[in-house]
Amino acid sequence: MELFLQQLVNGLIIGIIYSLVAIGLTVIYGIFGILNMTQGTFFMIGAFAAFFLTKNFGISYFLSIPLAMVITGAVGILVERSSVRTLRGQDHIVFLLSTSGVMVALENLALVVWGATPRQLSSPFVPEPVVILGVFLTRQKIFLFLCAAVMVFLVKWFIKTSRIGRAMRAVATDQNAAALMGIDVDRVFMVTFGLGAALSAAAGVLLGPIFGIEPLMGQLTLIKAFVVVIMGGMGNITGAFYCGLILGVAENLGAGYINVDYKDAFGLIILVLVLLFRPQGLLGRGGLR
Amino acid sequence: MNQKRWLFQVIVVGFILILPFIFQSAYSHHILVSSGIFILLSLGLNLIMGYTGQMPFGYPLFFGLGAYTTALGSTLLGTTFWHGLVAAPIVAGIFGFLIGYPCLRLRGPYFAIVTLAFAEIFGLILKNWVSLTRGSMGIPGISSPKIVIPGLIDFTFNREIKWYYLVVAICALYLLVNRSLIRSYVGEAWLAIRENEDLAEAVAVNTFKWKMVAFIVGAMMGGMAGCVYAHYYNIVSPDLVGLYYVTIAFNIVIIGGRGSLLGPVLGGILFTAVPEYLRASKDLRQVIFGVIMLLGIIFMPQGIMGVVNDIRDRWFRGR
Repeated sequence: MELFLQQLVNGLIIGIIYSLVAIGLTVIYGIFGILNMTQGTFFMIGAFAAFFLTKNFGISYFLSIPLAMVITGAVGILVERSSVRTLRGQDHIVFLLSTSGVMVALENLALVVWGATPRQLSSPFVPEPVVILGVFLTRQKIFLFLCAAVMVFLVKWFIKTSRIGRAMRAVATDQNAAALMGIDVDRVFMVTFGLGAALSAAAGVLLGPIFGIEPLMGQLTLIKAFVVVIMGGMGNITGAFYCGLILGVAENLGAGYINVDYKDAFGLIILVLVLLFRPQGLLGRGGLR
Repeated sequence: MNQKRWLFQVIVVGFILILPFIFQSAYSHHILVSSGIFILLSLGLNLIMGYTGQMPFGYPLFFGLGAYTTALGSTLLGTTFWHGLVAAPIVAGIFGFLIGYPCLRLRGPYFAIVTLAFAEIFGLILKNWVSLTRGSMGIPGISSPKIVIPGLIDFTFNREIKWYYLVVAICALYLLVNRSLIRSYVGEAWLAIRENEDLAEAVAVNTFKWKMVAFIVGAMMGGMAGCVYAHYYNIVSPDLVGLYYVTIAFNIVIIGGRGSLLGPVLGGILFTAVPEYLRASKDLRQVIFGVIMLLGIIFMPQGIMGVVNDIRDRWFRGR
């Protein structure tokens, strides 16, 4: 029972990270109709931005979270300008390829600058775990979960109620009609990509102190985020949130009870099964909601 | 006009045959062979991606399958390169069928991602089934190909220059297969699918069947390329199914020109030879690849072949 609870909690913690990255990905899919290959790269950039800021400028870990989000959001806007806006109106394949080009360039640039050795993003929390109901938890993990949960809530609230959030939903429904109603579609595109990048960056900064950071950390995260987005229904934010948690838990239970070496395979097997039997996603339809 | 074209083709073939004597060092021969292997991989990918417009992100799965098939055969059973050359495409083709059958019912990004999932699962198996594959260490000691007829010939492909001609021959075989497929009914069906899948289906093209054909033939070509890789480098490792090879192969197809017969050949030469001569480190070379990929898609959507076709039209078709 304690093993079960421990794996469940660990699964929820890694799962909410998947949720954050996947929500960014699914929002971008909802607006642009493209799968953004740089989503994992944003995850890495966020973590390294925080690493750079805390180490070289003496900025505290807590302040580095919003700063890393802003920096990565700006990078995201640049990516949108260079590799998405220039190709507007083309086939989805073209965007998969153009964003892959950016991914390859940025991740290898990070390899050139920082090298392949994993680094530690230091967190201000003491490493001693607290024990709740026989489950070992570090304070960083608790902080991660609360912080991520607040962000998910804020994003949902932002898209639901804010002016630009409503504009986003309008563009997701019908771009041309939205433009005719006087919505600045370019601005919506910019905000969406920046938001997606910032969410991914936050996930990177939050997870960094637990797993360490390295330039290629985004690749597996990207694939996991794809799994979550497809499971949740493309463009479905609530679906992405729940399916991120489901994926994290499934992986950890699989690792705990079946085989730890194949931890990363469980999510992929779930993906294959979902796509073959329920391609519209586990939780209803897609569309930005 | 036809004569001019014929002369041009003779010059190109002659140039390819004497190329190793223009660049004489073993190192440049090695670069030629490695770009040849990438060209083989990309020619298979081009059938799936360029002609039917599907995005198989997991394509290196077949490359890895072919390489491991012949590597295991060579080290455990003592089979030769020539056995592998037959077995690797068969194994890759069988897996192409098994994976393509469920996956090709999906479209667009779904298809791209689910094939990627299969490749990742295969990579995890290669890493973790240590008793068979030696995990991340890879399998070394794969034999070099030989042609032996007792009393007559005893020829080993042990130098890069011999490999160059072997790879050129296999490349020619690939091009012949591709050309005959493209010029037949199959090629027309593929183009119809690429341009508008729903419309193709509406005019009674069996889209699923022809996509399957492209996928299986592409898979077999990937498998054979893997076999060549394994016997040339004498070692295979799970990196073969990683993102490195898939991004290079995609790059080659795009820069060369999607859906053109010779595009991957030109793209392959540009992509492996040019960065080698730039003397950049492996990581920096990848940065350059990424930038070229992005710029290529934006400024040269039809690839080098698009530019070449424009020039050729001006030369051969008159003004």
